[in-house]
Amino acid sequence: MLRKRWAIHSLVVVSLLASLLNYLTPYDVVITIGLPVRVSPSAGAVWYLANVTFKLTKLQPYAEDPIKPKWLRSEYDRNPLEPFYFDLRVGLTGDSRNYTYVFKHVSFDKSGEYYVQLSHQFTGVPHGKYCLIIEYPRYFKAGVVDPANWVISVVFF
Amino acid sequence: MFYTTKQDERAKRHWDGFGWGDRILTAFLLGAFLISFSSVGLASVIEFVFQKMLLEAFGYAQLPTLWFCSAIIMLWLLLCWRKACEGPIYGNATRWWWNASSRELRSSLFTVPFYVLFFLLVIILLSPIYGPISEVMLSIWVNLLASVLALLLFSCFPCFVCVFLIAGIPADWISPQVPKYRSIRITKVLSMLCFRRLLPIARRVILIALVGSLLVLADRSFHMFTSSFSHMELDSHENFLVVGTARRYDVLQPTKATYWIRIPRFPIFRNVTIPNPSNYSFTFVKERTDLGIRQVSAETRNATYEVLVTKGKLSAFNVIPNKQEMLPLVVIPLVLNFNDNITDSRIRMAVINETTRKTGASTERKEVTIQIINKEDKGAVFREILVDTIQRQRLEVFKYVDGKFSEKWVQNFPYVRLYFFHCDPGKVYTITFVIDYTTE
Repeated sequence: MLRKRWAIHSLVVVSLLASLLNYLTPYDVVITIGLPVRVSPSAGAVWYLANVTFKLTKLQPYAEDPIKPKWLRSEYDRNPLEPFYFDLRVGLTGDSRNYTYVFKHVSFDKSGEYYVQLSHQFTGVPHGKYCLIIEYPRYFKAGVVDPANWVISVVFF
Repeated sequence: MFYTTKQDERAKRHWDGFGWGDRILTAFLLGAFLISFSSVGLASVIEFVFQKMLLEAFGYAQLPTLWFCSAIIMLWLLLCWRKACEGPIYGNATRWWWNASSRELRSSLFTVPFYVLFFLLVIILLSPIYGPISEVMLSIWVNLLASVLALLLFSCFPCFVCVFLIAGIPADWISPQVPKYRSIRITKVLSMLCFRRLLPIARRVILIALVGSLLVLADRSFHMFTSSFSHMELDSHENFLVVGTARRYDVLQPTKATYWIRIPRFPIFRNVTIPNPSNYSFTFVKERTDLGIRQVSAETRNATYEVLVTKGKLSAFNVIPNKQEMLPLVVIPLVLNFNDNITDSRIRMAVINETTRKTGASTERKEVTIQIINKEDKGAVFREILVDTIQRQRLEVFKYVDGKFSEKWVQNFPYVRLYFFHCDPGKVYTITFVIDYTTE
């Protein structure tokens, strides 16, 4: 009888600790940014961010940062002489923690309209309120010519 | 079914003296009273659960159904009770049914409600881990606890009272029980509750507390049964909005808050209650195009919502995801557009000069100068700021910005306003209104 009681207590305490540890484990935040890009023979442009999503996981193995440019259509009869490119910076600023990542050299060699999807996984992000800053280019040729900011507050529960 | 079988009881003799017609009438009256009275508590609990917790929005057309269900449940409980007593309940009540019922039933009649109440208390204490909805969760659990207590008080307790009254307990049985509650007995009872006797109770209490915590934490950690928030996005990039009068104004921040609601792995509680996040907008409008300064609009995808209004103010949204979208760990958005009152803004407006002088036999000129300072890092729109009120039929108004003429208009109403003036970040503007009017 005594052993049974101890077994029940142990089971409850172990389960409680497991749940507590899982609850306290910080998030892995996968931020996915979608942006339409227009490339002419003379320059490229990003007018706005189409879609920014957050996927919250825990104890996720680190994934590579995919950059998926999808070429849609073109109205131009010629391509740029050299590929145009830009850097896109993503910053996650909390009360005591800052996370920054730069997607370097996102390049385009054909004229036309693209839909580009970028993903990055920030690991070990605790619950709390953060300020997400995405610095993207309005115009670009070689690097960012005219940068714009997209700022939003995010609360991870 | 529930009448006593003991031949020597007054109630049994009373029953035997009845004709069949009287028996049927008495049984009907008694049963109708018991069922209708006892179902009040259950109905309130079920109504509350339907309103706050369960899958579908509750309609008052369902009240008769709820009443019927609660009556059936109560009847079923009475039947179980009778079966456990192995005889008519009233009969057993006259010889203290407690002794007739089995030990398990006796213990469960006390321990189950105790554990349920204790578990609810634990949940209430732990509810802050639900983050921003903690207040709502707290109110839900407090209400649920109150409903359970109401059920016990208004359903179970009257039931017992009725049973004892009908059973006709003799006064000589009751009177020996009364001295038990004298203070000397209480002292004895307290002395018996020594530390060793309290240990098993303490052990059970701790176990229940741990199990309660475990359920809440596991639900929160592994997204098991209740819908929860994944994250919230607050978009407040729009310019500040200033409303009111030149002397008393509010600085508002138009905000778009997107709540992402995560469907649990094993959905039981589908609803999520989101409190109104605004400290200024308390009126709900369906279309965003109708959005006034004190109004909140909502949009959602793959879900419906209902608005909870308390004392005429919008207090919360009850979001109900669609059944076909109830896939594990899917997130559903609720977008709220509202204004927030910024109390510590660095936007200032003040009346720095106000003069009135005669310009003719029957004409006057009033000059009101206001200064606007914007030390924030984004713009501010001054929307319909009341500058002055002059009770005259016709006003001719000249507006000067930083000493330069800006515009002129004539109006037939007494309120002089500054309409939709945009103030860039870091700028200071001095605006002068020159108002001509006749004194007659």
